[in-house]
Amino acid sequence: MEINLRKLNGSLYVKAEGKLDIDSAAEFGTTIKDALDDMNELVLDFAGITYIASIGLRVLLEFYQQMSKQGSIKIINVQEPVLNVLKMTGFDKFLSIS
Amino acid sequence: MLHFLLQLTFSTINEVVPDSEFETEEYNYLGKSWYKEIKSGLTPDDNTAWSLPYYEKEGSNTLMVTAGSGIYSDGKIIGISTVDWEISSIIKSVSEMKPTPSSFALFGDKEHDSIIASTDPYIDNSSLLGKPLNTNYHGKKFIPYVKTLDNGMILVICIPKQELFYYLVKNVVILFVVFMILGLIISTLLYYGLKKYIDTPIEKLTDIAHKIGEGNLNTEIKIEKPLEFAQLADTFNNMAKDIRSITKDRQRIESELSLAKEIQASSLPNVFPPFPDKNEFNIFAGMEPAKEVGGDFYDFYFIDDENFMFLIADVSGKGVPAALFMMTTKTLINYIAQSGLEPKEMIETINRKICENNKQGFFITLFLGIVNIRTGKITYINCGHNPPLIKQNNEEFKYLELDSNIVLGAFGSSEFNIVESQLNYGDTVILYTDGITEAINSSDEQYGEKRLLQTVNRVYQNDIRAVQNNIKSDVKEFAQGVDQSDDMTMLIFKYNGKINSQKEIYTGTAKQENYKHFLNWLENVSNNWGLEQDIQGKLHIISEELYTNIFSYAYANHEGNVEITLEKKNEKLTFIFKDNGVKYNPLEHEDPDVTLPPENRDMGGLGIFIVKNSVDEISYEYKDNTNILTMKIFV
Repeated sequence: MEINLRKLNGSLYVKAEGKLDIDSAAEFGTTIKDALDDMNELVLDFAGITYIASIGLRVLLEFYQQMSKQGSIKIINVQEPVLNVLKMTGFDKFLSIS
Repeated sequence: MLHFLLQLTFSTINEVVPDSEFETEEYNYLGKSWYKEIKSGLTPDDNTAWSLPYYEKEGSNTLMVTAGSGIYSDGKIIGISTVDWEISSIIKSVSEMKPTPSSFALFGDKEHDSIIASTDPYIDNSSLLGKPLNTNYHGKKFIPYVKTLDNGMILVICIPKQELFYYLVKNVVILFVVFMILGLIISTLLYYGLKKYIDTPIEKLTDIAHKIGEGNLNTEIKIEKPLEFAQLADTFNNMAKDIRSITKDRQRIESELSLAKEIQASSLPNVFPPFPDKNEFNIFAGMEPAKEVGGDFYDFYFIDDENFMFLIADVSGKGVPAALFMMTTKTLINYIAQSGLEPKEMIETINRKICENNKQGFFITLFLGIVNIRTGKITYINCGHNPPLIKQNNEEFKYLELDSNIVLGAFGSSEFNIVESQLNYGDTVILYTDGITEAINSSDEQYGEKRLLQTVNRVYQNDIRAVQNNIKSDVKEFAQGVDQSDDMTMLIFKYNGKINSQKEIYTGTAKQENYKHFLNWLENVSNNWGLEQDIQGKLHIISEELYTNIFSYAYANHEGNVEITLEKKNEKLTFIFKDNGVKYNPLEHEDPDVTLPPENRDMGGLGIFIVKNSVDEISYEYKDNTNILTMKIFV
């Protein structure tokens, strides 16, 4: 999985490509968390994410819990297979998705 | 000549007193008028005579009358005995004669035409004659009673007509009323006596008639008298006995008939699906018998490894004979069909055999299909049966028009034509009997072929059992409760095409390091089978959730194997996960509430929840120490 981070004015912009599966979820989570200190916004660009399962959802929930203390989180460019899982599990109810 | 006189005087107190006064010399009775009158009045025939009234100067100085009888010696009269009455005592007696309050008596001397005494204060002492017979006094009508005495005096009792009849009528009325009352009492007593006498047996008879009418035939009536009723009661008892015996016979026949109906129904295949492991076709059939046993039947079976035969038939006639003939025919067809003959030869043999045993002149209409389930090649034979409905190439149903052969059982030498055709995936044939198309409603209209075609096209769906039920419901709705007069039989055959079956099995140790290996296998299989990307995505998610669970929980303490099967039959994917780890049924786990806000969320169970929502069917079983989770996805 490729993960690109970019910080701008307290906002962390993340662009990732690949599958957010059992192999990549841990790395994805750690990489972003390490860069999240002092950030008041997390933007996840999922244009290149083709897959997500429950482990990936767990990571997203952790991001949400941290960002709800220090700012906000949003996911952009969500692809259909991933959107299906987010909707199926009700994550679309509290995550800002576009 | 010796004369002596025995003189007796009736005093006013009606005592006889001997009177010696007359024996004196001074009283020369021989010169007295009364003596002369009596003596001259005596005759040999009547030895009694009366004097006229006279005034007695010497004796009592009263008005007297004397009666006397002669005393004879040797035929010569030697004396007379006399009895005197004072007239006043007679008058007294007369005045007491009062049969009614206003009646009165007259006492008179007819010869001298004078009334001696009268108790009527109004009557004047004038002429006697003409009075008693004159019945009008002072405007009142009297009825006289006249008695002439021996001495010529008369006694008349006059009774006022009104009073006489008043008393008569009064007495008659009293008598009448008494008789009426007596009559009433007697007739009432008679009525109740007779009523009891007649009513009791009639009530008993009525009662038993009611009981018999209600079906209670074990009642017996006992009447000993009157004789007529006893005979009637016997007749009733005998009648009940006869009905009892007839009813028993009828019940026996009815129960045998209903048993026959059950045997007949159970002789038809009635377990569906009949071949659960055969996916090449679906079949569903049913018969709704009319009231009595009938002659409809259907049947289906493999006549060899690849050829499946289905048929529907209708034996002419109804009742037990038709049912027996139907059973024989069904068995005969089954037997000959399994003998390996070609279809044409087969049907001709069946016909010949039926004709050989058909002395009663039954005939059978039959439609029969033989499908090669591998290739879809089908052979139709129609022997005078209703044209079936067929759906081909996803088009609407239409009637399959075939040249029909003669009915079975008519001529043993008949030749039969067969028709060959091809079935493709989804093609469906509906066979039925005329109990469907000839069902009538209360207006005597038939359901008809046109309506059947419309209904079939309207209700058709993948579930052919539902199709059949909906058609029959429609027919019943049409009939509006008119009794079903014929069996309603239907058979639906759906061909699922040549089976494109693929199956791959992965086996390995369940551990995180091997997950990638399994995933590669899954991707290869999916690509080879040409599965769509979204299906592949589903298989990926399912695999991750289940494989992770197996090595994390099922084999938490030791390593173990996992066996994963992917199978595709036409449009159906089957995905099976097997492990020998801790027994665990993931479907028992309650679904997580995905509507909760993130703060309250428990992530447990989310993986299985995703799996369940990604497949069309999922089932779990634990067998031979193995957890088996089977999922199906329609592609």
